[in-house]
Amino acid sequence: MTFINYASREINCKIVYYGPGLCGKTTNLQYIYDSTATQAKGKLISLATETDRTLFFDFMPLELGTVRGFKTRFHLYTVPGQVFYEASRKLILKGVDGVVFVADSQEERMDANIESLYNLEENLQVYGYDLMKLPYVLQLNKRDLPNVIPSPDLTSELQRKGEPVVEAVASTGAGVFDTLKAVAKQVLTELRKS
Amino acid sequence: MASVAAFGRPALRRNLSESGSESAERRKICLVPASAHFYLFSHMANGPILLRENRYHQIKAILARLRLDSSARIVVLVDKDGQQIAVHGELGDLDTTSLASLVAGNVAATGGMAKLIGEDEFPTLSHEGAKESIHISVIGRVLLVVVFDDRSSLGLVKLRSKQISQELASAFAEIERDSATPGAKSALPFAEITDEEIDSLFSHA
Repeated sequence: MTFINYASREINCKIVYYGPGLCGKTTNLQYIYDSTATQAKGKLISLATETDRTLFFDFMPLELGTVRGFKTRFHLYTVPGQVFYEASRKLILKGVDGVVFVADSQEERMDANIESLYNLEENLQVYGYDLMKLPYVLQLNKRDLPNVIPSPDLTSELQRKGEPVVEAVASTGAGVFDTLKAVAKQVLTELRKS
Repeated sequence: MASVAAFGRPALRRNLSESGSESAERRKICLVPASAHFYLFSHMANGPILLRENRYHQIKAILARLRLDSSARIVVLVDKDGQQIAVHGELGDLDTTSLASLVAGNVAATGGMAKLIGEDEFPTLSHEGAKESIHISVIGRVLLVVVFDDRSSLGLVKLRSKQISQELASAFAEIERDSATPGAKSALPFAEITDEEIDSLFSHA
């Protein structure tokens, strides 16, 4: 839910990183957090298990700059990827303005990618959102690993509507900001259409 | 590429947009100058909630009164989606953005628990600490958060929050009625944003 505050002259948008367990959603946020100037970010909140698996969500506010006199702030969230956290995963999508689907490029995670993508569409439907109309980016993560599926094959299977596809290695930061830019631009463009 | 054989399964390819949805709620809250017309996000399923600037100041005044009457430290109004709407009190270095996000997550999680046991939602939540405590009231789609210490008590905060909740509920009912007014559509200032302006936001990233 984009929140436009005319008193404080701020635009706040919500972006959710979605994907199967261990695909690198939190790593995306961690890289953005580590690479961003202090004044442009808030705290990185991680509600995680003792083994650092996301339990509920990660959250960080990121201020990109000013447009038309309004500060533009993105609230970045991740969902827990593990299948059995379905109830809490669904909650995070409420009020979402844009989604990044982080796919794990490894062959053995292909079914998990498909299941998670299917689950994303289903959970969006619960709130009346249509993935086909929502700002959306597909990130192909872990491209540095040896057993990855070629990008064209992954893309042909996971791309849903001609959305931008970004190859990434979130652990090194490759493609992380390209992904964020791609989804943020769509969100702002959507705002313009409104 | 053994896994490629699993690609393209029809069941996974179906378009879920054709299935029914439980709720079609997707709203935006806009705070607009009192002199301005209402703004409308036309693609919203149920229409937006629109806040005029004068309504914003009215809400701020309600929060200030609640803080005084309940001897609280801070009073925050948060949208159920985690966005902070207004805040009043001794903020200090409190990160109200994170607080808003966590409060919304908290309410969403307990709301999920409520449904599991056959309740619609839990209308109030309280967390009592050694020195600082939090009381949350669910008022429709907004959450009233009161942070208080030993200068106050849970009973007083509950009582005052309940009294103010009625007032806030009435104010938001009016806002929703206003928002549903035919002819509320109007262009946002952002309608004129250029691609270059959007690109400029990312030039330093």
